[in-house]
Amino acid sequence: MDPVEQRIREFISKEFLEGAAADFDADDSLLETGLIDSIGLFRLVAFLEEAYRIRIPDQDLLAENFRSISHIARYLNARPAA
Amino acid sequence: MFDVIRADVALKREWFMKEESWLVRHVRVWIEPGTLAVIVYRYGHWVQSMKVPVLREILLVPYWIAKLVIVVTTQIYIASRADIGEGLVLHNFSGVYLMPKRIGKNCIVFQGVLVGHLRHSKGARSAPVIGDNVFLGAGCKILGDVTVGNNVVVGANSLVVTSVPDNCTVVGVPARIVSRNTEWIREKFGKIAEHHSG
Repeated sequence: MDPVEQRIREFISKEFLEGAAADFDADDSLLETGLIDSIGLFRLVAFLEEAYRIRIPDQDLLAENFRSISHIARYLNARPAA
Repeated sequence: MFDVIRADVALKREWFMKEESWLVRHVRVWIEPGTLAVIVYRYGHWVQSMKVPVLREILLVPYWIAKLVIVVTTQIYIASRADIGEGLVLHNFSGVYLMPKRIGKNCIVFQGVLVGHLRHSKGARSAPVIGDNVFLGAGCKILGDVTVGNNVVVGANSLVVTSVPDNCTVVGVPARIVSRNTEWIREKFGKIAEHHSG
């Protein structure tokens, strides 16, 4: 599994599932499945910014970048290195 | 309770009304919606801490009535079980919801501020803890199991979902640190404290 995907999965498990195993696919929609809500999305953004020492601009907060774990991993991997 | 209320009002007077008339500083300050909401909270918190059950239940009745009036007329809600230190100042009103685990001394709160749990969290431990000398800008939201340190400024309309260290200014959605120097707020609270005690 992609290390970025793994890290995000662990964060979601810890913060939103209270440690339970994250039983969802990397392509599952985070918002549409109710896994996280809108506030949760911003918690995720804050985590990514801290974990990867990046700044995610508002204009990048799009479904194509944050729809699922795989979308987020693709977005982060496509960014230039910090 | 009365000393704490006096400290709350004194901070409000010195922070917002320093140049105003005697009437504003000594009369209007006591009847402003934010002040009334804080007084009702202080009373409710004091009653909740009483050890005599029957007396506590009797004294809770006027608290419930006053709280209902405050919530309906000013849209300010402060959980009576919240542990909030002296120097709680609500400037303006409307849309204020305070349900922290704890707030330290000297907290300035503007309209539209929300401090509370997150939907996915369970239990009181998930409510925010806020330190001393904190300035909560209009419309800011502080949610979940986070700690906001001492001498912190939270910018207007910011969303705080991660902990904030001491002496920072945070701004944005989600809130990010934009300054690690809040000397001005520490000095201002310090001067007010000296003036009040001197």
